[in-house]
Amino acid sequence: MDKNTDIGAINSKSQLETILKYIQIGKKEGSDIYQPVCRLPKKGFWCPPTLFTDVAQSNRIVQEEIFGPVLAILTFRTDDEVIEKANNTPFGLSAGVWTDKGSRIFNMTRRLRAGVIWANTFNKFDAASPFGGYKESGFGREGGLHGLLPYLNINA
Amino acid sequence: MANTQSTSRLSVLKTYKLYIGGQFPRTESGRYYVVKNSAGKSIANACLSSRKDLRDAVSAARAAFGGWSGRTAYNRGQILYRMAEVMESRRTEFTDELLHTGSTLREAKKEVDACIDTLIHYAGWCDKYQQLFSAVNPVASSHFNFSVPEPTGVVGIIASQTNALMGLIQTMAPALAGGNTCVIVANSENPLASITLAEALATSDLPGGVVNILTGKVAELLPWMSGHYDVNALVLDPLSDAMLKSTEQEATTNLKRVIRSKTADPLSPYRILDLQEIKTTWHPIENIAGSGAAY
Repeated sequence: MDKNTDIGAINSKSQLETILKYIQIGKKEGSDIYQPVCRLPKKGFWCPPTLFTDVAQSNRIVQEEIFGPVLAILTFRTDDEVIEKANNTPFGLSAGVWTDKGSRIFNMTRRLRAGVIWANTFNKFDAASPFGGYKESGFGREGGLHGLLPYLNINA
Repeated sequence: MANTQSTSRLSVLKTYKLYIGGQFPRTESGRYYVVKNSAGKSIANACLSSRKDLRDAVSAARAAFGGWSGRTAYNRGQILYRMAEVMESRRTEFTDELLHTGSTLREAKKEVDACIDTLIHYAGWCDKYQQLFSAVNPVASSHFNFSVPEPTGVVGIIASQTNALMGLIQTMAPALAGGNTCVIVANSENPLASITLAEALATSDLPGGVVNILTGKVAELLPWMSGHYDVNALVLDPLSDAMLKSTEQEATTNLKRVIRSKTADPLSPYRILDLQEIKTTWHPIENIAGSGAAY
């Protein structure tokens, strides 16, 4: 695969079926769908990048974790509104914020309830960086000091 | 003129009520149970809290969470210190409550002092545990990457059923120091000291709803607490194995953190970490060609 590839294959048939199920749910819930015209390989489990607009907070594609190349797009006008919308789900694995104002970055990253926050970047991982979620996204952290802490007692 | 003054005064008995959202309501159920002292003599009626009282308490705790967790750590420390000050001024009242439970005067005084000292201890930790449990992570790409602890949210606490006050303070103080709000089920047999504590808290600077205290039966309230979708974590005094198992099963509904602290030390800062989530933030660092040359 080309090393510049951002969206590869889905890792299993059952996960592809889960993603396709959510895309159907998104359509049924009345959102507008956009998928680029692109040729998918015949072999393997592929899903084109998919955008949904005209989405409501209560829609399942907003509330639940899809784990696929599907983006549900909501709009906002104020800091408070976007925080309320972003935090209004039972999950909190990761979040991202894009803004050119430094103080606003930390205003957002502080208030988002998620275990990993990407600011002006996205989807970065490192073994030295703790990974794991808030709320229903799971227990504990893997990687970094916080991945080690459950196995250690730090003494002065 | 008739003499309206009686020669012997009737003492005014205190009604022990619940503490929800900074107020002292009776249980909505109208139920009560008799609290006895260690000699088996009835000393008061306490509210027998219902599922609805628990839900009201969780709502109050959730409403208070944004404000409490949003305060500066320094200010939370000041408020915990103030709570200890208010307890100190009511030492005799707390001591009297503990005498009912069978403690000797010496033991009761010792427990009250230890409770106050525990609050002072955690007041000090409020703006320090973050340094201990945060990290700047050495990632292999050009990013500034750091992890900090943040409060888990609304914490349900089943206070120790073996001592009247200390078990409650030991679980409540680290939860509050870390910016959580809590719903506490008091010691069932000896709930009076817990309600007296609530009266002290109400006159400290602790905002209403940050601590909510219910009296009643653990076996009745625990299943509703462990299944409640707006409770983020549970702190349990050792329960029977069967009760612990059903609690952990119920808690999976929303992946509650069920805490049985790995440390026996009641003053350990790990007690604060038990009720924290770790948030990791990534931010790019501009990559200047030949960086390092500036040194």
